[in-house]
Amino acid sequence: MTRIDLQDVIGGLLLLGIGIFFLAEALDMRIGSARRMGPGYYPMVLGGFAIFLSVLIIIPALRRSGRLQRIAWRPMIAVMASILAFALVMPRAGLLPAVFATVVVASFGDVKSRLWQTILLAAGLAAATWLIFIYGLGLPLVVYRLPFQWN
Amino acid sequence: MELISNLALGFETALSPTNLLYCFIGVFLGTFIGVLPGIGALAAVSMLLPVTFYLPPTTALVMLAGVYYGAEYGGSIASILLNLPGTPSAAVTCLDGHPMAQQGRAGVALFMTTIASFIGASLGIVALTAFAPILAKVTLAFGPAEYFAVMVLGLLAASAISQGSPVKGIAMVVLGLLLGCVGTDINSGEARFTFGYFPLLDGISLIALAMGLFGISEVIASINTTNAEILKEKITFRSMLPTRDDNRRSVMPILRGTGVGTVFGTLPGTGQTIASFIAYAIEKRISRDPSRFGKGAVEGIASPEAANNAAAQTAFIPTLTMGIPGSATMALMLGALMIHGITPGPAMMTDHPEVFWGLIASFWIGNVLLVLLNIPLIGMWVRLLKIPYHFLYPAIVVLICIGVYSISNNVFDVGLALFFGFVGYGMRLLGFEPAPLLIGFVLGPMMEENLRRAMLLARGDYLVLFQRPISATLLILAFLLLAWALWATLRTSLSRKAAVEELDASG
Repeated sequence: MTRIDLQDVIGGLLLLGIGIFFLAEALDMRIGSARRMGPGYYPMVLGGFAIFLSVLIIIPALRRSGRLQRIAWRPMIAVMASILAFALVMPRAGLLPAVFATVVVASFGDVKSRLWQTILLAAGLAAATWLIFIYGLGLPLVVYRLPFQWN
Repeated sequence: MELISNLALGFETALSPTNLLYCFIGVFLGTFIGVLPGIGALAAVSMLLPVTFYLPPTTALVMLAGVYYGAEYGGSIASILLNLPGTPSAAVTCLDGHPMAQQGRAGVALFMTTIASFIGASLGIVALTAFAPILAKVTLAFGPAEYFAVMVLGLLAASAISQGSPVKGIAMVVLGLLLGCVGTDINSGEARFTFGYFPLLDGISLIALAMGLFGISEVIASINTTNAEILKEKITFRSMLPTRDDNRRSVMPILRGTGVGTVFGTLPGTGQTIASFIAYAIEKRISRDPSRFGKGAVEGIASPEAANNAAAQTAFIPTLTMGIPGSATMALMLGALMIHGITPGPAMMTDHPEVFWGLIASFWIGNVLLVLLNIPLIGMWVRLLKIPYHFLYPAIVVLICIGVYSISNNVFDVGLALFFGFVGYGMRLLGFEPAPLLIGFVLGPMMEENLRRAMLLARGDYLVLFQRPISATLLILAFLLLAWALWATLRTSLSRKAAVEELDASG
């Protein structure tokens, strides 16, 4: 329970920031006229709208109480890190190591995961993706690359 | 008869062995992904979209359409058995479907869902066949001003009627429109908002955006919260057979639901969620005993499911004839068409008749496959629901990564999906809906192009938008909707203060 509706105040402020950012960027471009709009015209108008709407969200939120949702830190970090792992491993070592790494890292997000089960799952999924995407659908992906190219 | 020869062409295309095979694969994979808790039709379509790049356009769309309604159907299985709606429209199915499952009537609920979906979809396809050519003729008279006006109305309808605060919905549309500006400006060739990133010159990848906002954020939110209660019940074929009383109660609701769905699906910007909520509300209102609703009334699943599926089909009318999607999923389908080099619009029916009519015929075949697949395979889907979530979600993450990466074999798109996953999770925490954002993103560039063209023709006079009768009517409707949305926000923000205090006092 918060004294003001913090959820909408934060959301509104973020939107305000985005609106100001786009507006400022758009004003740096050629605006043109309504008849011959330059590249900056349309984003400028939209940025203005975003700012206007953010004010409409923030002002009533300041005058009422609300509650914030809890952030699921562990799942969030694990899933983000697993996608990052895919992005790092895939171009350097290929599909099979990338899938393995992604599954292992992602599994840290759930309290019920057990390491040996995760390793089995990762191996199984790596095999399954090879079967489906490379063998079945014929996607042009590098399966594995030896030795790994780390730079 | 032009219609019959068109349909013949359509069925000839759809019944070719390749298309039939991919229709089956689409329906199967769609149901598979739809059953997984926390993953809706939208995530399913975006996950499988990159896979279809390697197929010819018609086959790709036939498969994606199959994925789409397969996932819708799979979502209702999870809703009924676990009370876990994957999509907002499936939330309505939970209201009476889950109580039926608790009473040991899960089989009947699943069977009724299948039948109601099939009837709703079939009649929706008839409406699509009948009205799409007419609407396409009307659309031929549209100039840029009319296109702009219809997009404004569609965007406002999509956001203002979404759940939660209408102002926040409209804010998400504007954010989507802004994201749509990223890339090369079509008129001047100048780069906008690319921050020196070369891959952004082509704009933000639709798939990376959709996967991030819907796939990744849904997975994060489901981990550690989805504890699937162990399903003890076995769904046998016998337990699926409805009683005579169930049948009698369901016939009229299915037809009424179909009517509601057909109308709301056609309107730009509304779509399935609204259709199923309204169908449920109507059944409850006209029922002799409204107190049965929410406690396992069979009408409470028959009518919304019929409405949902009828709307899913008629939503293709504005998408295919005008190029204006009614829902986020339709926006994705529109994106898929454009990726395959087909521009939806009135010309599609004449330029690509085999795609247009083949798609319509495949809708019906897909729905037949859905019935044939789901009644015998229901036991398999139920078993899938028993797999613990901590084994499922790493697989979903892997699918998302491979899907995004394979768009252009580029890590940049994976990074983009990661970024939008973070944004999407933040939006979820702050109570912002991602669907209006996606619709805005898809429509944004088209809206800008039409606005610029209309203004060029009118020598910069904005009044021209109100001097042409069609665009004036559409814009006035849009303003009325906006006024209503602002008023509704004001009203709830005043009453919510009281409501939150009351909630706190009670516990």
